Amino acid sequence: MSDNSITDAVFQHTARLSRLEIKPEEASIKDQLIEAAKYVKVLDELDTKDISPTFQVNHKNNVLRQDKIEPSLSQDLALSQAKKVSNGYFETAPTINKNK
Amino acid sequence: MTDLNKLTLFQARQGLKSKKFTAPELVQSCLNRIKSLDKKLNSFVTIVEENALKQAKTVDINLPLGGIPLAVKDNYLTKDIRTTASSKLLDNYIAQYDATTIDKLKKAGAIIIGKTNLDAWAHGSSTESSDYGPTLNPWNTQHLPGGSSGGSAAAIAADETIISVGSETAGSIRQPAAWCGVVGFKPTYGRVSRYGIIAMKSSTDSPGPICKSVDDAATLLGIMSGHDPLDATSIDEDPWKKPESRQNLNGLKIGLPLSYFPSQIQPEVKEAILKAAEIFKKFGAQIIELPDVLDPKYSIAVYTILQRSEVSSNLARFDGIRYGHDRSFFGTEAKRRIMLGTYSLSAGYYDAYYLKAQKVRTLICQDFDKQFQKVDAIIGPVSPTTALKVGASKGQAMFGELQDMLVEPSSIAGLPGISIPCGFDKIALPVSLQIIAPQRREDLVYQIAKLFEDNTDYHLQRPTL
Amino acid sequence: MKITPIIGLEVHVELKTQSKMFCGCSADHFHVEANTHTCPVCLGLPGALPVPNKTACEWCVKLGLALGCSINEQSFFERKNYFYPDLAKGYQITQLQKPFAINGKLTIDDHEIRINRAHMEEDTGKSVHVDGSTLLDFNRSGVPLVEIVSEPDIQSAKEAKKYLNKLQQIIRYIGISDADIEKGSMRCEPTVNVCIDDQFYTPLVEIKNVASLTGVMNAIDFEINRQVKQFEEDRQQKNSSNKTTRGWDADKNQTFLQREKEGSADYRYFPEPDIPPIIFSKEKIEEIQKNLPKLPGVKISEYKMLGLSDYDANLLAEDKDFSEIFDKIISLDNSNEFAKFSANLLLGPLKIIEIEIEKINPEYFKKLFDKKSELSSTVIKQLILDSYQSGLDPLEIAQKQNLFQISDTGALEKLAKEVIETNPKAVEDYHKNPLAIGFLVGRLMKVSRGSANPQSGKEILEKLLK
Repeated sequence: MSDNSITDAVFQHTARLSRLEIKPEEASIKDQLIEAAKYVKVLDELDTKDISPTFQVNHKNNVLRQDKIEPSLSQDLALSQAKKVSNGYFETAPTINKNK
Repeated sequence: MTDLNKLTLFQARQGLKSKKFTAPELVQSCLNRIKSLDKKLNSFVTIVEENALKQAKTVDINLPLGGIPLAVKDNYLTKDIRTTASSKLLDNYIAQYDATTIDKLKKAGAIIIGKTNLDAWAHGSSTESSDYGPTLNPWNTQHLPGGSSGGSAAAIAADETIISVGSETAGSIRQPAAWCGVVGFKPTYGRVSRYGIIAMKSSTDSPGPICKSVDDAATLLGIMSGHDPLDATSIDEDPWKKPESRQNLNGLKIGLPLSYFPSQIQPEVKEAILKAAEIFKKFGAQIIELPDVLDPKYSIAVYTILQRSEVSSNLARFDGIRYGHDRSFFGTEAKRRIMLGTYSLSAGYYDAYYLKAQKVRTLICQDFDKQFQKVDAIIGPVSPTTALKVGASKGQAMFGELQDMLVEPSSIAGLPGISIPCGFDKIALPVSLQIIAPQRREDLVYQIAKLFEDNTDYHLQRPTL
Repeated sequence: MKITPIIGLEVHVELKTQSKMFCGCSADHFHVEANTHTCPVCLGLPGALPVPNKTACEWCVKLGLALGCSINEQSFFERKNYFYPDLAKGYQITQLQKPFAINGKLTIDDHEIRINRAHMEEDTGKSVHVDGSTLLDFNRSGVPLVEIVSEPDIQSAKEAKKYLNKLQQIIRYIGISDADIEKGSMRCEPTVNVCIDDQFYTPLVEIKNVASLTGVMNAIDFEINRQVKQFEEDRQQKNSSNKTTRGWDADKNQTFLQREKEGSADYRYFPEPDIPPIIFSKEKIEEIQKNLPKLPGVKISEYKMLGLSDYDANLLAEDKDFSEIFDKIISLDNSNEFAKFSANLLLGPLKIIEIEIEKINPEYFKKLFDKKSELSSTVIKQLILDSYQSGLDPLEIAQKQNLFQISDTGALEKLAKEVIETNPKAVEDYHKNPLAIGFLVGRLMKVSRGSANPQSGKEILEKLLK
């Protein structure tokens, strides 16, 4: 683990992947990212060579539902919180720029 | 009757059933208290006056929570009541469905009187990062209530409600309960359904009650718990039942981890915990020092990585298309967490961060297994300090983690725990004790806490406001 | 210049379960009013949690087994994180490290195509692009998808088509999907590059938006040619960061660049914390394997062993229902002769019309077979058709209409005498040329209304005319 890896380029890339715009007044986020990345290095003190990860703490498995149809939301309710709707659809900015 | 708002759940139920007062009177009394205090404390993001009074008129008071005013942390989805997670991004969001827990509480007759403040998206331990302003500690408004369920804890401490619910991912129930001197019960992971509660760190999120007494909290937990087919991680068991209380703790071994008393601990906190240990000893428990409990600093690191990672993914759905505003409405704290999470999951870093943290998580679980071979339950301070001053969290990337260091290990391992008042510091801020037991052993947690409460009067103290 | 195309196929198949992958909404989204089959889970509302569909998981395993895959005893779901308006949660629940099925194969004309994996995931919503905005319908969001990923073992567009045909046939056979490319319930993304002179490899290209089988072939062929030309120009070779994505324009019959540098995509996979792992025990896997229908490949070789031609065997095995009724018929008599007899009837008179399989009665095939020496082949064909349409026993029909061949020599002799008496000119001809007997046999057949056995009729006539 190395905090040196958080260069400006990595930071920008991370923001892009996160779909976030970091405003100039939020520039401290980068330093705090470095600080946190540095802090978690403490884990390197522990040997985990033969240790398997724990993704679930309550050791459940095979939690499945029967293939049965349950009622859906009404179209009105589904759309009720959207900023823009059109003829039963959610509406958003165009996603395609046909560069054929 | 006056001061109905100061009643415990138990007392309020008795009064309603014996017709000393009515449900609308009880609800009105809490609403009055909120009106007179909340401009100062800011425990609530949304107050539900009209509907609450309307429901109180028709509610069946024979239901387990019939007519009881309930304050709900604002990350529980409530149909027809705004749910914001204390973020402006959801400023206008009216949920299309009720969380499973809300459904259960409503069916039990509880009356929702408002939605309580939290750190935006539950990211924090101060309630200072709320987009709706900080909540202040009812014991001393110069101080923070803790968080993220700070609004719920403050509302209980200030008698703005009879009962409340919060949620804990690593300390968010126990730490604010501790700083506000009330009872916070964090159940085993999976005991209470997560369905309909805005996800933060999915693999440890645990909803639970914040109340005025151990009995109240246990009663509420019983109603909130039980298997939910809509939550694949929920425990496949019937609702939890409060066991008989105990007159003594004969035969019980209680562990005191030395690493839970870090060097920076406030002396009064340490003293109060050791005094509590003496009380347990007096009632027959054997107190065993645990010298080799894994240092909580590792839990801080594990929690930091896993929480940020899961947050970065859990907050991806907030794109402003189907509900809420767009992503520019995220506050700085949320952005900080999303960024670190995205970074730790990125190609090339996954093994070093995320996978490493999940492996250390195994070590933490194994460590608890080992300790629970030696003792039945573990006690310690909830927080190394009493409530810090307003402003203390600003600009500190790791503020929450350091405040929550003593509750993080048990959260990471999915264990049940409780925070109960056990003293006061020099400036009359509450000190609290936590009790941790193995998974699904809420019964032990309850019995030890209940015995302590029965034999002390810290929980009866109320701030003067 | 030696050119070896290297083609891998990623195929997505939409399962025809009742409900969606992680919620109880109806999985039907074809011609359904927008956003009427959604709920908190598939709309990605805050707080909603996924619970996997048992049938969908089992069907994925079923397909895995049908493709000869090993089934991971423990599988888990993961989150694939990326932003797109029709991806409700901002991540897709899929499988990466531990998919349900791995390491299978499909054999095309004795050439083995390795299958890397068959994993379970969910579909996204649908984007409709109109002037100035994008409209979103989440009815498809969360519909179960199985992704079948081949190794790059396919060597031509034609082979890719055969692979897809065979995959489609298997999927339909085991009844888990319509696998209809035109309807979008089967989608295919070829990844193509070319090896030139056994030493140079062109950069990888993934082709998107191919909406028909012909499209797949044309797109691959176009891409092979384009890459060869490109290589001659820039001599650029494949490396870890120059994979590109190209779209297929079916109108212009060409691919166009969609996304450069695939290497920069970073999906930040991690195990889905909302869904506990799924374990398929050995017993459960055996049970699924046992209930797997016999697959077309196996059937074809069995039919060929019964003496059927390659063509007929394929024709019979192609359609599951058709081959099932054939199997029922041949279970009544295990002789090769009966198999051929029945195949001819099924593929001849019955295959021509739009038949309803359930109206076919296997017993009738056996009855006709047992009496085939007494019925002419024309009559048999007519009888199977009549009995199919009326539901009546073909032998009863034959009885009623006097269609049995007359093998009773007395009756035949009587008819033969009649023929000889009424056709003096033909008798005369016969005496001049014995080959003219054919005419008299024809007359005899006619007066017997087809029921005379032509061979014995001929013999009797010859005897009488001696």
